[in-house]
Amino acid sequence: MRPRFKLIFLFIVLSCSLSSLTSCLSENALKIKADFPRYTNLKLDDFPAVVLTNFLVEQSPPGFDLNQELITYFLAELKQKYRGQLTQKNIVWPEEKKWDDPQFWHNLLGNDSQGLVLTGTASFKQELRKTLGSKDYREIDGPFRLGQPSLEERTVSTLTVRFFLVRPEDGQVLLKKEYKETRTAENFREPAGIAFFELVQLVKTKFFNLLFARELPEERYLLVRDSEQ
Amino acid sequence: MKKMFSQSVIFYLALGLLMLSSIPSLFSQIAFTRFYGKNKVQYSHFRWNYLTTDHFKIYFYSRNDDTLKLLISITESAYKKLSQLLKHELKEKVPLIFYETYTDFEQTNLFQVSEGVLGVAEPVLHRIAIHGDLPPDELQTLIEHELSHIFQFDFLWGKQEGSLYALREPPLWTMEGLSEFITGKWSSWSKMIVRDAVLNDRVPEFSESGELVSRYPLPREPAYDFGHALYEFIQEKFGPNAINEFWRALKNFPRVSLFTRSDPWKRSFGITLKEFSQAFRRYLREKHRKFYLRENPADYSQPLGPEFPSNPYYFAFSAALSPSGELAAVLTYNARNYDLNIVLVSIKDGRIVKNLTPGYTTRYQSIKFQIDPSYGQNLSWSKDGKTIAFFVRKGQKYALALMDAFSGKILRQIKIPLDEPASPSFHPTEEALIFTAFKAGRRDIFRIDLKSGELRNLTDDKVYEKSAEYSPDGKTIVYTIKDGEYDRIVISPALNLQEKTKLTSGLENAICPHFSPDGQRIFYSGDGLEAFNIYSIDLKTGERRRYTDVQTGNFFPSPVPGKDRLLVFCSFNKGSFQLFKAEPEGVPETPVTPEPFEPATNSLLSQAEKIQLDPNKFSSYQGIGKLYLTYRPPIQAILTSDGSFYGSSAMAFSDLLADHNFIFTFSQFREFRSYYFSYLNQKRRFQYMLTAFQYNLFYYPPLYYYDPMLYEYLTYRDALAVRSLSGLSFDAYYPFSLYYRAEFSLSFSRYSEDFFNPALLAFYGRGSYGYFTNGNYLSASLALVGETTFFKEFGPLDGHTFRLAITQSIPLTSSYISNTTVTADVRKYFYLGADSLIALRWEGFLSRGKTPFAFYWGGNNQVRSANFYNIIGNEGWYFNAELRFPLINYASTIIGTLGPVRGVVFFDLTRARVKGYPALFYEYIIDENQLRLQSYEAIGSLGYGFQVFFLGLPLHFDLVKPLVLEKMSELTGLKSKGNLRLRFWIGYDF
Repeated sequence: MRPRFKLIFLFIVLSCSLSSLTSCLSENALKIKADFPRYTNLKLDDFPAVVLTNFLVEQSPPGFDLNQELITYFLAELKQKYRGQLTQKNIVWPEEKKWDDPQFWHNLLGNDSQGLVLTGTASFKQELRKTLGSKDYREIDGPFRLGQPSLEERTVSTLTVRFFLVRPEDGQVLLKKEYKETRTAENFREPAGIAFFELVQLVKTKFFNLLFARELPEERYLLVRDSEQ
Repeated sequence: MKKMFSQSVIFYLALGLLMLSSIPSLFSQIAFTRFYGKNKVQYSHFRWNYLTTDHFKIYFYSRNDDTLKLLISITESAYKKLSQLLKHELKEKVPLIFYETYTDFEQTNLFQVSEGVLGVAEPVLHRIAIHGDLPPDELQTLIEHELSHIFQFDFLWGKQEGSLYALREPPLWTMEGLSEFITGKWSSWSKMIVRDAVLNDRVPEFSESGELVSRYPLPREPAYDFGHALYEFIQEKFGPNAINEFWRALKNFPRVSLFTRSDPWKRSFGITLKEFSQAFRRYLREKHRKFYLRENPADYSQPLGPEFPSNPYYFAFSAALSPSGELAAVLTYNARNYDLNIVLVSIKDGRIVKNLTPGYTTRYQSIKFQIDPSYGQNLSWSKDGKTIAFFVRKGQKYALALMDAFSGKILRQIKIPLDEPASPSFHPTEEALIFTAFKAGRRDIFRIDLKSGELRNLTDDKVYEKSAEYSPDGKTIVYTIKDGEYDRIVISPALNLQEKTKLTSGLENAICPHFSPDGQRIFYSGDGLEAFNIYSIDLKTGERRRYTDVQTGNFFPSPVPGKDRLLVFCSFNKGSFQLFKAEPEGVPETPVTPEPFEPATNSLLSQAEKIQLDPNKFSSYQGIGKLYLTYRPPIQAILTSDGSFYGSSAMAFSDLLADHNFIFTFSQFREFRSYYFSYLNQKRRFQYMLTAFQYNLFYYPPLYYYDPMLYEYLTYRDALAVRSLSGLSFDAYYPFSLYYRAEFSLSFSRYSEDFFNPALLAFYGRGSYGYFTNGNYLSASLALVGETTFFKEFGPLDGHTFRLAITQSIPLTSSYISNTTVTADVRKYFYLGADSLIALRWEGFLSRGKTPFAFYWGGNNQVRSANFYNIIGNEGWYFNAELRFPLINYASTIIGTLGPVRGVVFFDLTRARVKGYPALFYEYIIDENQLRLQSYEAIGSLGYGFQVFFLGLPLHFDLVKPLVLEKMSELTGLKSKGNLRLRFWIGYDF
């Protein structure tokens, strides 16, 4: 680097360093890192009781009881997070569903539900997808990397859960949210339960972020009051 | 020293391991003194077959359909259980290698197996290796434990060989704890360890990296038992899905999280590690609350020791009372010598009267002990008071050692061709002894005639007998049987063990049965109150009494002969077993009603019987099969202070059973490259290796071989000499025993040596250095190697090491290098106690013929007064004598931990002869103002110094006085020459 440019470069570096040093030396603000709760639309802990009902299963692989698996999973997970009273109840889903009609919900859930009702619909689909791919291999006796056609099979699992959090007294839907998670596995003999478990965890993580105030580390500046003021 | 080509297999493996261990060779001087190693003897030639099931490939060498059915049943149900629990499927079938006995398992080439290891799961090829010296339920637990590891490896690192590229591992407790948790069972032993730690406030803590660390000694690694407790805690506190979520969080741990910012504990559990640890401790305390008010052994008994650290003996594994009741022979661990000892302890005051097995011995390899008390005592004292019996490991199997009870002299050893012998018990009057052992997959009671050595199986049934003892009159035998899930106490007439009467029942394990001196009562340990307490049963009335209500566990109750109520027992307290004595009154318990023993139905065996073996699923494992990379290739890169670059790497492949091994190494220093390739076959007792190599090495010949006129013109580079060595070698070795072996080698090498720049030196006029070796060399060599040496962390301590070799060249043409070379390296160590020893070494070499080899030695601990490798000869020897002693064990300093610091007083002497010259050392001296050539037949050194271990390297500081000897025939003419000089060198003691 030419001497003149060297000087300019050095000046810039020094200026930046000094100015940042100055800001560090400032006594007006102190930077801290602490855990702060995230904002949630609805805090489930504000309600004294929640009833978890059976889910309306739209699709499920044969031999796999999707409803029971969802109930077992969410009962266990809600018990860890929710401080109020948690119960489970089975309901009979009517033929005609009007998801946005409060009367529908009021009729369905009735007056005897104690607390908010968490219910919804669920669908779990597994497909075997095949494609013609190419496998690379190198000849032992040659320098070339060749492609060999091969049949590749994958199992694609999709879990869709639509949650409704309903106040049964007036049928008001306080929260409606749908989640769709997909997972691809090379082992097409993998049982449905394994894929379901991986997907429902993702659904739970996202859904619970709406219901429970999670604490996350964030940076803040504390303003330091001047003693003379 | 000339590199020898009759290298042992062990040396090559050691060399390979050295390179592969990524320890950089920072210093040009020798980092390690060469030891030849002990042998791993393949006593058996295993002819492997394998059976394919849905999820396993079960390898076996002995076709036993019952065992195979049991294995299939257990493995497949274990797989189903784990898959459902962990929500995971394995992508490939798991190779499960089954050995029938522990002594067969020990011969595996897959890993180094030590006493007490039941099974291993390895992460590279997801192999499991187990042995079958276990009852069915314990085999099931073992398989579930090891299979759980395979699931963990697959979960974390994916397919086989995926773990080779992992940079980190999760904390050990996450893996071992899960494996224990998965079994769903707590052994009495594990529960006791955890309980003891909780009640004594010794629960291991978490390090910053999340590992479980205990400040206090524990009988085994805390990752197992406390890991198990941690998983139970996680499940209870954070829900049934928490373990799965935790493992999914761990999945990112190994590769990615070198510089992780987020707290994995917070991510998984929502709390910090500190909070997690505190919550875990609270959980444990709450869980063990009911034990707080129970007794501590010190409340009601007097400790008899051993009392570590007042003496070096830690842990009373087992104790046998003398017939007089005054002494107890205790099997204990000597923490100073890192060895098991049998010591005599006074029952009166706990004083250690004598160590019956001091130092080290090669009469047997080790004392066999069972840490699980349910397998009975490890020692037995004969009724005449003269002999103590115990089992030792000897060769492939075991031997019964009969030792003089007071001198400690081994009177006799009787070979026991069985597996896992335990619980010796002398007959009170006859010269016979009973014990339990494994044979053909079953554990029975055996009787051995001490005169004739005749062995007889007294039970020979499917019942699992664990420990046995004769009554005082020899007419009855009391023993423990594993019956379903519980251990029961059973008695039988000594002459008919098919007639079994059960004394204990219910939800209680009853172990360690022992007759009272009058034969009227049987004392035992039972865990009816969840902790093992001492009970007794009156054989006439059925009255049962309980003598303790302890927090942890009391075992091996032995009433003292001649003392009415005095009991001696082993108690587990504060992480170790100790001997206690007490005179407890006892409280009555529910009386027992003896009943005929009917073995409980074993559901595992019933399920296994339903399995049909498909003959199409059997295959024979032959040849080498597929090869696998055995470890991540290490890469070494070193930049030296003179700007030279050194780089090296290595790759190793083996077959599934590691019987066939291929190693390739490559290194380069400056522009000099070396290659090495070997194939090692270790399938049988006779093992062999084929090697191909090309070495390009450089060195600096002694400067006095250069024309002094050149000194001002030559650089270091110009002074280099280069040796190129390429060739092939066939090496074989046959071990006679653990300590001795024969080695054979047939090799061909091509030598090429010269100065790096011969033209330059030719221009300036070459010096008279004519010891370059050039030509082809075909040789055969035979060596006898022995090593019984015991080592501690600072070096050898006791025993001997030797290597005697003869190499004969086979000159095919006149241009071939032709010589006969004999070498001998003999070392002897005399242990003086307290880490002090006298070490002697004599090393000699002789090479004669048309082109004898040159040997180089000197410096370091060979001849301290000489410069490094500055003595040259075709024949020669050197002798060393050293007194080594400890000065400081460890010192904590600001620059790190120093130590141990050891002192040495040394003497050495050497003689050398170059072909065509007399065996003399020369120097010019000024004598009466005249320059005169003085000759000496030998030179040597005398002096003292100390050795400091720092950063893992042994640093030596020696004050050396050179010695000279004019005539070997006049050894008294040895005189010192010059002043004391300070010498510094780095290297291990010989």
